[in-house]
Amino acid sequence: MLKDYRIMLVLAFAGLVFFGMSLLKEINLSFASHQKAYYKELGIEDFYVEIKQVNINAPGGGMVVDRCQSCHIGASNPDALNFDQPLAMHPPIVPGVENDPHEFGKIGCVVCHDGNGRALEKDDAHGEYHGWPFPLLAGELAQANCNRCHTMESGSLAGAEHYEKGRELFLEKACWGCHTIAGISSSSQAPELSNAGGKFSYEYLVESMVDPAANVANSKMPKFDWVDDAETVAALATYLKGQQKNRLRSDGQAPIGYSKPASEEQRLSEASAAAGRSLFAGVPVAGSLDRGGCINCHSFRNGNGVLSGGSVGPELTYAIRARGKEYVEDHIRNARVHVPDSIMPTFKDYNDAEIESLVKFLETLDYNPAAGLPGDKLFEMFCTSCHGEELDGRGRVSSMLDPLPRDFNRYQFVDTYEDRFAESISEGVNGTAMPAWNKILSKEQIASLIDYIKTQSLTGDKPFTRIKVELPKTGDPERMDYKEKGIELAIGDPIEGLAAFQKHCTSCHGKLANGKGPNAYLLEHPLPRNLLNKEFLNQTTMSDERLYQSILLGVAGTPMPAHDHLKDQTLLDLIAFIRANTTEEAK
Amino acid sequence: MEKNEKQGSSRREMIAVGSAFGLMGLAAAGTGGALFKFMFPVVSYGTPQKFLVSVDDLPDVGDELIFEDQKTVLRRHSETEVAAISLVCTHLGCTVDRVETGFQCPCHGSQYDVDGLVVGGPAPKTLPWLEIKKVPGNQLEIDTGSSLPENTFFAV
Amino acid sequence: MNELMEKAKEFGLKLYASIFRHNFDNTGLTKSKIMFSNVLLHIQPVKIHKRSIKFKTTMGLGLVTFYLFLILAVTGVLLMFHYVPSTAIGPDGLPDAYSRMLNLRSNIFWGGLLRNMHRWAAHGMVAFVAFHMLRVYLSGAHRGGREFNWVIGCILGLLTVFLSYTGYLLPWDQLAFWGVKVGTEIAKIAPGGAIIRGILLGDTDVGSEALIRFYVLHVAILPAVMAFLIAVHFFRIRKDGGLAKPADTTHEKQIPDEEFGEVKNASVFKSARSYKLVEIVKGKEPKVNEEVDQMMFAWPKLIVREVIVLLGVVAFLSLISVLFDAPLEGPADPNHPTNPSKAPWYFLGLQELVSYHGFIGGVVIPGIMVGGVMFLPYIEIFQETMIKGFNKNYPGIWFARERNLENALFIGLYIFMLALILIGVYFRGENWAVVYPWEHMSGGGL
Repeated sequence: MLKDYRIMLVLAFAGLVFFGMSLLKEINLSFASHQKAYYKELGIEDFYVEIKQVNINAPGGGMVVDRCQSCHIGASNPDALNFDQPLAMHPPIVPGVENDPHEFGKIGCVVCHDGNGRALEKDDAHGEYHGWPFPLLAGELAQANCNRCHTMESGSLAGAEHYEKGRELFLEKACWGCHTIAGISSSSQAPELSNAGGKFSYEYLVESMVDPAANVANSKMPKFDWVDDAETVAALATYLKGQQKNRLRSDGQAPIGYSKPASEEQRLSEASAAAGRSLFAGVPVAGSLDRGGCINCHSFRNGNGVLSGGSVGPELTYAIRARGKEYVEDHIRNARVHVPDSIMPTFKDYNDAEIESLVKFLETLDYNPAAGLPGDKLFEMFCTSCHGEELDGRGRVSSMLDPLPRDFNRYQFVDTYEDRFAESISEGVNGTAMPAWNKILSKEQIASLIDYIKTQSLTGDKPFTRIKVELPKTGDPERMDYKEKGIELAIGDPIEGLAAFQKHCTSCHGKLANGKGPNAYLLEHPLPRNLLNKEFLNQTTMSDERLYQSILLGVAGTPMPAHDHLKDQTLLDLIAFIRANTTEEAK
Repeated sequence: MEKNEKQGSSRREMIAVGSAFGLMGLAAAGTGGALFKFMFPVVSYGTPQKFLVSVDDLPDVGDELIFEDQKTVLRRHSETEVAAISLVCTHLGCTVDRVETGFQCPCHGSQYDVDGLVVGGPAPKTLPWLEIKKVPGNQLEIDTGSSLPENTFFAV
Repeated sequence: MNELMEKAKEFGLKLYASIFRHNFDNTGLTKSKIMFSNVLLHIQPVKIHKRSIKFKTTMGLGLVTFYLFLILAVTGVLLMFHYVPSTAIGPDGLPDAYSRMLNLRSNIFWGGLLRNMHRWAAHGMVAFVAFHMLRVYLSGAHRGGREFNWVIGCILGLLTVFLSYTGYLLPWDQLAFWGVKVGTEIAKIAPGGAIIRGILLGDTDVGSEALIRFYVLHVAILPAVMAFLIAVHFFRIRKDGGLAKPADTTHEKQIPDEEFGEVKNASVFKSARSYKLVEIVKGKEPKVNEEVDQMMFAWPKLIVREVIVLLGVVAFLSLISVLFDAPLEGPADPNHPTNPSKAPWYFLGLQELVSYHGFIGGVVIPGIMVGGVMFLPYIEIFQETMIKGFNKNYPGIWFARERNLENALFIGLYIFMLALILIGVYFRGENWAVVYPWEHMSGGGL
């Protein structure tokens, strides 16, 4: 029995010790020591430690609980100006105003700075733990929350300069072209950001700009050049963090606010190259929608051949000459009219004068260095931005193009199709980013380009032979009719073609025939052809025979395999199906 | 001899059991105290018991400032003296109205003079005069939970 | 003066006698009296078989489970003072229930500790139910007239899991929301599961209605049912003749006379080993058997042992709760699933099975397991009735040789479930892909 009693005694003692540990944990609170330090520094002896809670009532009911000043106890005490954190006084929010209207005793801290207002431990309170949706916005990042109370449509709210800079950048960097923020832009090209601040943390927003694929693996957002500039990213992220629907005061109740000035509604009425240049560069234009910024994606060469601009879209120095005015206008209004897979946003908000201004600006670009250059220099000057210095189709703007630029390192491709090159260069390839170069380059220059490609690609002895096949005609005997039943080919049937397509083609070309089948994600370069690309498939060079050859024998130097196990009749049906999809009257 | 041994062992048992239960009792008492603290409110989700008034915002001499939410009247008696009087009736806790003659309770008709002294009705006590404290930041903190004798002025 | 003292003493004695109706001397009569004059102690028999207090008989597992239930009840009621089952989003963007968790953690004295205790005790209880079950089976204690109590025990086990699961949702953080969401999606697979899920959630998805229903189930209905079934479980232990012991223990050592305390008055018996009527009469109600010489007084040895287990549980739980905080993720956000979304650990085995095949893994295998385990004793009895010479009835014997096959199968079942749970907890990462625990640590499961 004594043994039992002693075990009991030991356990009771252990329990008491653990009980004491739990008390220590509860009593040894950091806010208490902060408060003691604070009063000691002020020389006050008559004080008691308590949780300083501010309840901020929201007009819609409920309250924001804020206990931050339990630690940040000197927030509104001028005597504590030079104290160490967390005891120091908060610097003035509105510069140059004697009596700051923001009383921390009434509005607390979390309204502007986010974080966890109920917490009393530092990491907890600053939201630095896993899963906390709104971590602390320190310093000027807190300007993101000005609009929880103030209307911030435009203008400059004193003290919110960082946020305002972000707004200007949103326009200047052409973010508005793809992203919608209610009241600023309307585009369905990319996710709406009207509630970006409510949905995402500041860190997430920064990360998504710096590396678009970090949070959304198959994001189509380009990685812009300016993401290396931390200040720009911070200002933009602050602005985006400020876009939130969860507000404490509606516009009517806002203490001070700035609504949209009427002048912003004025629009350009007369086209001019100067206005176009400003729009292109994203510089505000008097009397116009101050939103441009083509330069964030597109580059151009000035008269001296100096390249400037972004490397997301193709260089536009030769755009008007190669494409013509009409094409460019259509392309700005809706790029997918001509290139169905283009990621370029739809600029439907531009009026005719604004688009004409842009065209006029592009018309002024007349740089042409072609004269006297040898093939390799020509390639470097005109082709590398898309096709790459290594001719591998991976030039600096290539990743955002769809279809991808041709990879000339595949010697099989070059060997097989070299006779097509001249026409592709001079006439361009419809439905893709490849323009017609015949207005800029002479026949001889094109020939020297092709020579250059061939010398670079076809090095050494790489035996490659490809049989020649002809498109069978109606009434010809079926190629696969081994048993000699005398089957004759009929006209291709699109319905049969659809069945065959779903059986043999969808894994790469997709159920919708748009080239986005499940296996397409495993392929790198080139990707399966979008078979709904009307411009591409209705080119004069895109004959039935070429389709027949490409399906039957595969496309040399690409992942498209040969399909010689299919009957000729099936191939004709498939061609009929593809044609049916891409002709006007088709359904 | 055997009996002594037995007694010794029983005494040791008693000590062990006694101290074990002593410790358990201690822990139980501590737990009781902790649970008392567990239930005891340390923050308020309504109007805080204490509120701050900036020294710059004090009324002029002879004037008053009424804080409706905090149910307090702040009076400046002289250049250097201020006082805060609670507006909560000492009878059954209604909020008294400020009238010409002092304060009047709308619930049961208690009447007070300007200093909160009872002049009529069922009220048993003078309206509480509240404690005022100077806090850092040139502000006064008024504790609506306190109760001082009448005519206790705070020197600004 | 002396007279007054005498009277005061007399009054004191009367007061004492009105509360304690017995002395604390070392006689058999007192030991009996203590046991049956105290409401808490009289649940237990006055005399128990000496095997019952041996550690290896029970390992105290059932008792630990019961104590955890009591601790959960006490801490749970205390937590109710600071909790609101509301998903209403405040202006700070936080659901009400979640804000209460933050309050518990910051401004409420002992709030965090009590939540930790409640959380860890809940997980511990599920684990100890499993241990207890394993002990009972491996020592054959589910046989020898205790078959129905095994079924009740199984129901109690299921209730424990369900009670823990309903409580899992209440913090309304990401862990809770997605854990419960995943769990209820598994329920959909079963035939009629969608209807049960609908009744449970009160909506098509986990939301405010689900929180209130889970809350009511968690704080009222399930604990009440549980308390009742625990009472039945305990009652039947006594009515089935105490803890299981081998059919014949007469050969085992007798308890020496001096263990029974002093002999008072001039009894005919030399020792306090009392042969009262109930002990001599044979029969079922209350069940006695012939091993009277091995029956010992429950006071004080059994009671002390029980107090030791209680102290051990409380002390250990306090230590764990001081050292480890209960997990709390960000507030529940139905639009942003956690990846991976894991159910609580006791359902992770099920989730793992479901990831292989919905119907077989989610309904067939668990159904066979739960049903099979619950009716195990009856399967054995059925075989014994049908097949001559078939006997698996060896109550109270650890790893009886005759039960090797059954024991091996039962242990195998446990290893199977444990392996699945371990895989689910430690080896499943984003997109439910296989990862190694040292590569990254994922949330979920606790």
